[in-house]
Amino acid sequence: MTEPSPADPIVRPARRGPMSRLSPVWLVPILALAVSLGIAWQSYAERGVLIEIAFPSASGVAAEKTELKYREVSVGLVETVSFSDDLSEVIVAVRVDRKLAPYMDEDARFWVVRPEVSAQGISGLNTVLSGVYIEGSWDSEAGTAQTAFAGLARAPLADPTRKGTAIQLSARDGNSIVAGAPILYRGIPVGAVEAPELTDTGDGVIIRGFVEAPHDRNLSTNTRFWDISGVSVSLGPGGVSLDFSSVASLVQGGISFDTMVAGGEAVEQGQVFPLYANQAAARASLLDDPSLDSLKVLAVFDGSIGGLSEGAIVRFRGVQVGAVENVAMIASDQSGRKVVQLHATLAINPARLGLGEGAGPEDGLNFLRDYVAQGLRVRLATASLLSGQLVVDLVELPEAEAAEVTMTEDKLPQLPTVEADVADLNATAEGVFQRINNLPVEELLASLQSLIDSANTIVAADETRALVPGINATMAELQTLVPDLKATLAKTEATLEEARKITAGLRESGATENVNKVFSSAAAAADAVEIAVAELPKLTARLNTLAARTENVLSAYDDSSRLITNALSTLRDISEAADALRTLARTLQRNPNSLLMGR
Amino acid sequence: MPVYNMEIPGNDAALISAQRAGLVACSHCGRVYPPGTESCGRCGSGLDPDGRKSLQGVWAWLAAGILVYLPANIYPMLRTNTLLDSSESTIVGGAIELFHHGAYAVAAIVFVASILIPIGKFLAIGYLAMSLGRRSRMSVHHRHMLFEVVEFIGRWSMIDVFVVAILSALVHLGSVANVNPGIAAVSFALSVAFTMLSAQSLDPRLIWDADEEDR
Repeated sequence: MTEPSPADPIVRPARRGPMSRLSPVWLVPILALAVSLGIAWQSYAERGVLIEIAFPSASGVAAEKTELKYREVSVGLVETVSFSDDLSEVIVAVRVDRKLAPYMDEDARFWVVRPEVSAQGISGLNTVLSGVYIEGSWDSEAGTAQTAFAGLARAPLADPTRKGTAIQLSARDGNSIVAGAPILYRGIPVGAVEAPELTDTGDGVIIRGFVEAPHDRNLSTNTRFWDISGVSVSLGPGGVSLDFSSVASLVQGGISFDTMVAGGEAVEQGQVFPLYANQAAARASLLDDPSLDSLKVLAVFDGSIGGLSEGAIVRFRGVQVGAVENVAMIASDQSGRKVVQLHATLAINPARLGLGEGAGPEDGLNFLRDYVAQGLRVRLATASLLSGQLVVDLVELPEAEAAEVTMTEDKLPQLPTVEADVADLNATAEGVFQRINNLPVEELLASLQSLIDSANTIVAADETRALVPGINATMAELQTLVPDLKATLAKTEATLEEARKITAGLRESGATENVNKVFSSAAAAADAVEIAVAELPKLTARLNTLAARTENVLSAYDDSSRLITNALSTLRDISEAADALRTLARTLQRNPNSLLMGR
Repeated sequence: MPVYNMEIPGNDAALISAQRAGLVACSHCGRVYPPGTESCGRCGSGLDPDGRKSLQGVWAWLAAGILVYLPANIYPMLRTNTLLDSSESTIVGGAIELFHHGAYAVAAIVFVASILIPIGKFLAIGYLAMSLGRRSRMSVHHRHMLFEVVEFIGRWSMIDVFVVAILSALVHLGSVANVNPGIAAVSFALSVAFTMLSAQSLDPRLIWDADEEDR
């Protein structure tokens, strides 16, 4: 029995080799080193590009916290916030995504998004909780990458990533437009404008705007923009109408546009459009095709043209065909005498003369030549009695002296003018009132009174009672007086009628300038009439006493019935005349201007 | 065949190590072999007569641990996204932030567990590994104690990694709040694991051997 013994171990001598002394565990640190280096290299390679943005102020921007966003996606982080060398700006250094860096070329714009409450609503509300962020905007074409940018103080209007058309509106002033005011198309906001800027020459303002796609396809060269800011109140036959577009446009203004005529050309980026004051003006402007030159003609007036201003309308048969472009005073020698003439340059739109679209200045001039031969003349007329504004009328006066279109030294065609009726009217009205003034009312009354006095004396005298023939004579005298009185009244009435007609004419043709004079002479006349009329009640009273006495006298002589009948009818006539005078006097006293107004 | 009574304590005069006896002991099952044997015939594990390979393992794992400990401190440990903002915090940064917020105890725990202990472990293992080949001022007993402490404390270094793992698992509230582990969390876990492997690779018998050589 053999003792159990462990199996003989297999003894293999250790192999000797250069690698046998090295433990394979060394692979681990090598691997770790490789991985660490790999991670380090990767994070270095993927590290973003540092760009610097200069902001006027950077309220709320915090280092390592504030993000740079592009289309609401975080693409970078603010690393440091520092000042420029002269402390005038805040330099915000942002580490941005390496992939996006090439797109940040010269068109990249940056601004800080903050909560903002405006008339259009509240924006940037999310930043109330999360803090501000920097929004970047650039186009989708990579250019020469930049690392230094100037930040904007506020969000730009036109986002280059949004499609649309940038426009420029030229206006006389920028009163009613605030930055961010909407551009409306049929009441729908389709864009916005920036704050108005003065032009380089300072003679107007330019308002940059942006119309978003796809609404910009509604734009063409025939598009008209007009201001819809504020409230418009108009008084018309339908009463007062109050008109405003929206509360936003009330507060910050607004611009509306419409393409009223088809067939315009496509607009380019940055196309300049005029901004009209209202829709009516925009519509009216459609008739002046800006591509067509207007016909410039000269009209020379001798008299005063006060009330004629630049922009006053030129009418032909009541329709506006142009406008006064310029009013100038030119001194010249006429047969050795210095004469100052007023030159008004009229811009006439040939298309409006009925010559059709595409009519040029030459066509218009030929048309005017023909018409002037037929008696077309330039005449000033009052547009409104209240404002005293003058308009230029092209009137047809076939009986006028022959004239023709002449060319001035400046190659401007000159149209013949005629005196405005404004001047004649004054003379006519004044003449009428002069005549009223000159009526012998006072003499008439004086003679009437002396007559009645003598009649009174006669009647009162005792011997008269015995003198029926004397009474007869008195009656005869009275009888002759009555038609006279009647004639006077009729004359007065005729005069008044004439005055009424003239004033009616005055109202129609309306020459304010002269109306004042007319009014003053009318007042003078009315005063004279009034003074005269004040005597009338006395006169009537006397006539009444006379009548009473006459009646007494006549009752004593009731044998002569014919005489009494005569006397009675005479007395009734006198009494009627007195009544009529009284009524007239009362009316005049109550309403002196009824002389003018005719009622 | 001499019988070595290894069970009787206090009898160390009679004890000799395999190395002293001119043999090679299997570190796994304890069987001894004549020098030059490549692997244990009983359990199949490799024989390492002078602990050279063991020492190499210690150094290799230690190097790996230190290597991955660097990114663990440079890169963010936690990535916190809340409704309001997102923040990333590194280990040191987090500890400093906690300290500034007045949470001194928590800051101390984080600092000790994530910085002091790992670095202390690197130093301790490095010291032990270096002391094997030469005389040491520290007694064998103290070196054994140090080794035990390093081995014991190793697992507790994972406390940071656990916190990150639990937080990122729990805090997934959609857009309101999110916690994600950063690169540093992985690096730190690896570093701890490598250090533990390094400590395990250290064959404690080498301490005895070095000690016996001293005598």
